[in-house]
Amino acid sequence: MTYQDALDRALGLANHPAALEAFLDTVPAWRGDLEQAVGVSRYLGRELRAIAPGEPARLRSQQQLMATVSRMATVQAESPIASATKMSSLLTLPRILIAGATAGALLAFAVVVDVPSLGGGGTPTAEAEVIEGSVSAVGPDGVTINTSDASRVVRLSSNAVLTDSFGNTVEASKLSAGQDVVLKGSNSGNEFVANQVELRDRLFGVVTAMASDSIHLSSSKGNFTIFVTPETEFEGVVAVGSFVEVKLVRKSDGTLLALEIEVEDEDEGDDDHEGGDDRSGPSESSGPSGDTGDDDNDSNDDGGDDSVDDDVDDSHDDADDDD
Amino acid sequence: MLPFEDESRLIARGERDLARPWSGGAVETSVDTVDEAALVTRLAAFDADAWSAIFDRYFTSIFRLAYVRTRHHSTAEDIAAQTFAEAASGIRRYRYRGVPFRAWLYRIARNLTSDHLKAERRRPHVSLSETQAIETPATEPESRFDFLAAVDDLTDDQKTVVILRLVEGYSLAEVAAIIGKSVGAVKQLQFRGVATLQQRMSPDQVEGLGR
Repeated sequence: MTYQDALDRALGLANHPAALEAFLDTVPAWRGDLEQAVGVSRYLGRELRAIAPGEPARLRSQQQLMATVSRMATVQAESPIASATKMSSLLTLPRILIAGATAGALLAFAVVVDVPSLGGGGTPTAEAEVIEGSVSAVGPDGVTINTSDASRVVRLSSNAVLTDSFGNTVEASKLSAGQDVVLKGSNSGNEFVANQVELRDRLFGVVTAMASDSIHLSSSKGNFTIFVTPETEFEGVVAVGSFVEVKLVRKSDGTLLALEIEVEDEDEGDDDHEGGDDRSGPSESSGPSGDTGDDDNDSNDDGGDDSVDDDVDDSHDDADDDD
Repeated sequence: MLPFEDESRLIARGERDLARPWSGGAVETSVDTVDEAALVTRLAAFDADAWSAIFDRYFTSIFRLAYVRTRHHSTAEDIAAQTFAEAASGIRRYRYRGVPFRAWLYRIARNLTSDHLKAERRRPHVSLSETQAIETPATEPESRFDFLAAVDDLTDDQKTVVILRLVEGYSLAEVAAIIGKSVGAVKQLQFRGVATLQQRMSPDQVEGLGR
């Protein structure tokens, strides 16, 4: 038994004094250290369990969740955006999703509020704007876009055009949660109306091989060959074994072309992209297809995250845990 | 083998307390014992009661995890709220393949927190003391030992492991699933995290806690 195993066993018996004592008797050389560790863990657990969110925030969050659940249920019932006709039906929303960001928080909680009718408030002025973000929901009220600092619902104009990054027209059904998008349109009062939607994709994974014009990527979505061009932007030095984020487009012939390849440093990559697809929200590292989990709820599909963590030793990667 | 098979066996034998030795005897809701597939089916059908139960069971826990990493009360609340909104938006794409829903939920929270921290690092620096002056949580307990300062010395992974293991009482395998590492890696992170905390405490403090 290693010390780590003994520690884990002792921590597991922290609430069972008799069993803990019996166990410590079997590892006399480590008794002192283990007793201290158990003490620390008891103290830490007790203190941290006392930290709780405020009740107003809890209520607000619960209301937000229920609103989302209700909205998604409606979307599900209506089989969202199955056609362009459905897209134009999004024009009817009188509400807008705004972000309630806190002072230091980039991530925002979204609350649905009523927006006064535009009809009685004077003539809205059109203002050209581009919004870049990730789709978090598609619903009858519009498409919810999480940008880097906010979340909002946008309407799609009746003649909105959806394209990939090459300008090829794509079907409206491609617009789904998790999809990175660039929307071009204009503000009309408190609403943003998009008339052009560009879909963008991203992948996260480990570079398994490199060629002069491509890299091979092992990701949670599978293994891919991604072509690079002189226009491909690089952040960091890509090497075999690098954990990277690739912004890409899929050409009409199915090949993938990298627009940008960002090498994640060990610290950040370790934190940011394990199960990096397990979200559909404001992440700048959202997965390419939704990614609150589709194929990513498998703990073993992280594309080698363990390998980028020098802090850990996987030599004890066994199946036994705390019993 | 399912990653939580060992825990499941214990629970099946009515030995939940042994499976969750650090749960402090907290009453487990039905969410914990309900069949996973049935739960996911209900969630995917946007069953409000199921979502409400999930929220009640995990909101505080997810908040706590985010708070320890961000040390910012309202940010942690936002992240916790966002986690559930993201989960509801994405539940239709969740497929149970051995990783329970709650692990998936924690992974969303963890990734949102990582995104927040990454974004914060890129923004103009605001001193922690200034932030804390504004955001000191009313519910944060006063402590004779500044354990949060000690926790700050842990890496993000160590913090996550410490919270999930020592506070929430998850098994090594479950924590491994949440953070996407091996059981051995989690064991190592736990070891280093606890060792760091021990080093931050004086011998007298540790001695006083040992019993």
